[in-house]
Amino acid sequence: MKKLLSLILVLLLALGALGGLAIAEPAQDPDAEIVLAGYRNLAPGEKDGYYCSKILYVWEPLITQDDTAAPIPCLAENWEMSEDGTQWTFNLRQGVKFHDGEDFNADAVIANFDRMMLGVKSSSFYPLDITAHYPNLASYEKVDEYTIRLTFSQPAPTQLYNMVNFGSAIYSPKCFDEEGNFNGICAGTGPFRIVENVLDEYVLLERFDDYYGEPAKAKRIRVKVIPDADTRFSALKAGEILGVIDLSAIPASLAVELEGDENFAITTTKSTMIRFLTLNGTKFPFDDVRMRQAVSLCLQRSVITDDLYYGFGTPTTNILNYSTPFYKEFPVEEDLEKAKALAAEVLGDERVRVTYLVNGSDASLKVEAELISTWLAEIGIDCDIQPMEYSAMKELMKAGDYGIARMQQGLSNSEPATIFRRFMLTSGDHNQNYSLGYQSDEVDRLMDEAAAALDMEVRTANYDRIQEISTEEFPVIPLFNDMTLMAYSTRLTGYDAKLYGIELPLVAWAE
Amino acid sequence: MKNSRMRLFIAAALLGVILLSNLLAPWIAPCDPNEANMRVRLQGPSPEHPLGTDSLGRDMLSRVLYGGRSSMLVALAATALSMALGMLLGVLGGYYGGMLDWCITAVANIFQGLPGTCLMIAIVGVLGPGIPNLLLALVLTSWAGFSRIVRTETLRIREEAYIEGMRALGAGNGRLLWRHIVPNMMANIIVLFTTRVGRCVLSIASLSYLGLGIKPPTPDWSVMISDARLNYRSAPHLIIVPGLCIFLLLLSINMLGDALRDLLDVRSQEVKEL
Amino acid sequence: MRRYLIQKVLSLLPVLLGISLIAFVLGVISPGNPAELALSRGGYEPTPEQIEAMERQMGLDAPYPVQYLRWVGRALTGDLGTSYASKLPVGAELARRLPVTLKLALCSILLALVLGFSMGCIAAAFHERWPDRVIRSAINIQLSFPAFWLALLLILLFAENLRWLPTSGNGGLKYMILPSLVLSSASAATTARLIRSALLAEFGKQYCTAATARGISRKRLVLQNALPNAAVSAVALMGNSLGGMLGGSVIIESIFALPGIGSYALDAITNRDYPALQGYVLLAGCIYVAVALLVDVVSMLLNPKLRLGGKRI
Repeated sequence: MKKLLSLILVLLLALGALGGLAIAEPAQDPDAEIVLAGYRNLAPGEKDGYYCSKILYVWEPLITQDDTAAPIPCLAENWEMSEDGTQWTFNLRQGVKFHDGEDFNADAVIANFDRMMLGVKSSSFYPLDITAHYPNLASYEKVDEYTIRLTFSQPAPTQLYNMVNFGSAIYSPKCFDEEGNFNGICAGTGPFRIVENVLDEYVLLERFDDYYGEPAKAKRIRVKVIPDADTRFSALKAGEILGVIDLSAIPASLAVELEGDENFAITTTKSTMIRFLTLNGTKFPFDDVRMRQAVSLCLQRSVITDDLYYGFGTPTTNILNYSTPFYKEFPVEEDLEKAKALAAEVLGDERVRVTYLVNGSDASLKVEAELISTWLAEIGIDCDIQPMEYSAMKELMKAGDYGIARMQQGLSNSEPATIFRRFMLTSGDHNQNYSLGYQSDEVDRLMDEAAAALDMEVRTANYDRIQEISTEEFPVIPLFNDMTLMAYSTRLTGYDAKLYGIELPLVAWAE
Repeated sequence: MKNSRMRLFIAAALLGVILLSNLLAPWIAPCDPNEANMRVRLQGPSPEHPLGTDSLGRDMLSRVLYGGRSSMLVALAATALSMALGMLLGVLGGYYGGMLDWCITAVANIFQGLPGTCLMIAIVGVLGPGIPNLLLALVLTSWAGFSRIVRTETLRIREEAYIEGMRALGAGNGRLLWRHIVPNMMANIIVLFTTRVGRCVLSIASLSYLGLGIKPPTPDWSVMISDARLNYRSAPHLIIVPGLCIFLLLLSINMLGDALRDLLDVRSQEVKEL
Repeated sequence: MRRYLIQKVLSLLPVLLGISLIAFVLGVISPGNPAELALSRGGYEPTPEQIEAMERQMGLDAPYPVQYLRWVGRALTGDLGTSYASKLPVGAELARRLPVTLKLALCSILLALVLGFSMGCIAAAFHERWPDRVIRSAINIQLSFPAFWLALLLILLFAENLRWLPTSGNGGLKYMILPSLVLSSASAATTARLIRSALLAEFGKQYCTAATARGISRKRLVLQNALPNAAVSAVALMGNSLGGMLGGSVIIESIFALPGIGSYALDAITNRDYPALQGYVLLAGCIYVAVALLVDVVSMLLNPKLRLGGKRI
């Protein structure tokens, strides 16, 4: 019996030692694999309209953006708009190769437009929808080997903003089939190519040696999928991963745990993400604008941003995110007495019970919902908090089976019309899918005017007014503008948060 | 024997304290368990908040006192319901035999052959979280265990000489069933009930942790642990206190079951091996 | 023996039928229109005509019994439908993830057997002395630990602070240690309890007393006679434990970021991805049944009474 016991002890010790050995510090080889992690598949694969996210630097767009969200060249070197604003001519970069060895030229771009014309492709990032990225597109054509021209039925002076990043992703024409679906690992032009993609486990990137620009610093980067924020944090602390990327890379409450630890660093920047509550405007009580105003007035937004999210966020009542150049700042009003009075006008002496939907995969949202529901209780709204998955939430919202939902919206491009159209036009997809029930003739008119206007100043003025309306009529209740927050091990350099992700090609081992 | 009595006493006392504190929570809790106060969030133990505060500044002691109510209530209700159902079917099947018995046994076998936890997760997953659905899932997955054991016991007792004698004396079926057969297996039932309540508490805890059980903002130990996952490194009391509560509750139930098994006259081999 | 086997297999058929019925009913009672759900993901808006066409294509206009038969028929050929969320075939997805879960379950069962046997043997050998008491308390403690709590504490200690073991992910054996330790904890305890009481029962039997009287050492007795007898019941217990492990793996896989069928089921629930959930229930049920059969066969091989055609000796 004692022998058996000692045998087990020895076995356990051996296992422990084995584990200890395997995670011993590797020698600092500059070409060693760098392991990062995110919460979801950053390369969902063949079924996804984009195959993988922009932040993997596998595919490149014609036009990308700088830190102020202004459009800058990527695969399109320069461009020109015709006098009347209906024609755009793009000159393409020369000497660019796709990962599969194909040449990048006007034919390749045209093939990508042909693919988009086949219909909307769903994606876990943004729908690949030609009508969203190229509104009023009448035709597209090849002018010469390295020039293409787009013709629109209406003036399109802000078209560049529409085409930023996800708006003009280009792939090798060889990598999709007749239906426009990917027929294997996608081939882009970016500094990294995908060598292996195991869904739900990892995607392995390798430096693309024929890249036309500055080559990526790291030889191989493995991006793991670790869905749980807490587990991801453990992995970072244990040194199994060297950095976290993507949206909600690390919750603020865990990021502050790393403060003062010299082995880790945090990088932040403005995020294109705005966090807000949507209210079911098709039903009592939120079909009444006074009730929506009451909700907005009773929220202590600075408590959410400063206490719950440790200052990583800026309170706002504007529907437009602060990273676009068109953003206008409005004061955030908070007045519980006024809120109670407005709510009482709608509810009388009654209280209402509503369902409050939150995305269950993010634990901090549930905590936030409990906090918000204590404030709502003061103006007569009792909440049933229901955590569920994002897409499941969207279904209930579409059916109008909810009261309040906590949502978020990123900017697929920095043209604000996209956001206004989706939330504030009667026909807007979010307006309908989230059952916002928002209708404003003034917004409809301002949008039409802006779309027809060639003069940027008219546009800007109209956009300013629309933002103002959004802070008065609350199609949704904005909470705060988010910060992109990422953490990494100080064994890496070049890990800087950008508007959309980090600049992966700059990430390298520290000396 | 003395040892068992001692263990019974300890387990019952522990369980009693837990039950009583939760029962009396509205009177003994120092604060409203749902009252948020962001100024005092994530504090350690202090005179005002003996167990500290959570990420919304709610008093942990009050939340812990309230935190077992829903799951204990659901566990008791679910076990009682599945026991009632299982006993009814088991006794009827075992006593009357024949076609009725065959049908009940067949259905019970099917339910016993299913992986219970998977099924429970799937049922709650499809129907959505909430107490009624939780009850349904628990009863559906546990009645068959009761029914099978009760049936075997009924079969055994039915054959015993004194029952035969009573029947010969003209005792009716109903009288025999409820006055003689059922009381005869009470020892088994009590032990079985105790262990099953424990298992139910554990299932509910797991489901609540996954967000499929007790819904927020109702305070619940498992939900507290799952909510605290973003803060527990700097405020470990957030997972240690509720975790200990679940642990102690389960431990007291398990110990009670053990002690009862030793003390009572448990004849069913299956119950002995639980 | 063959008759016994056939009888066993036949008795499992109703269980399989029950599993398939339950899985089918889960799909029927799930909220939402499957045709619409199948079409509308990723911001895409199907038109009523498209939905109607999809309903016909999916055969949703047929009465339920017909739908059930068709569904079973397709399931038998391995076609479990298409996931709403990923648009990939559920069967392929489950097949891709099954090995991970099987690896986890296998490690857990092995661990449960090793731990359970050693604890049970030690407890029985030192009956009513301190090792026995310690182990009996340990058994109760193990049975009272909520798995998710244990997992959090173990990750905190062994992975994050001591850095002995990886925190999460799929990989070699060392990735399986923490998850299977958590998953096997309860089964190890029940195995230990079973082995202990089985051994004690054997010790009480006449042959043991007689053998001890003749001076045969207890150790030899345990190894030669008592333990093999106890093993028979342990094997049966493991079959039961597997059901618990399949269910428990839902939590464990999601905490340890293991891409197995358990985490798939959880994703399916949060995604309201009902075909995926149906597929999971069906697969888990079939595994459970298959293991039950395997357990029966193994116990038969271990148990001479059954091996000799069921005649009592």
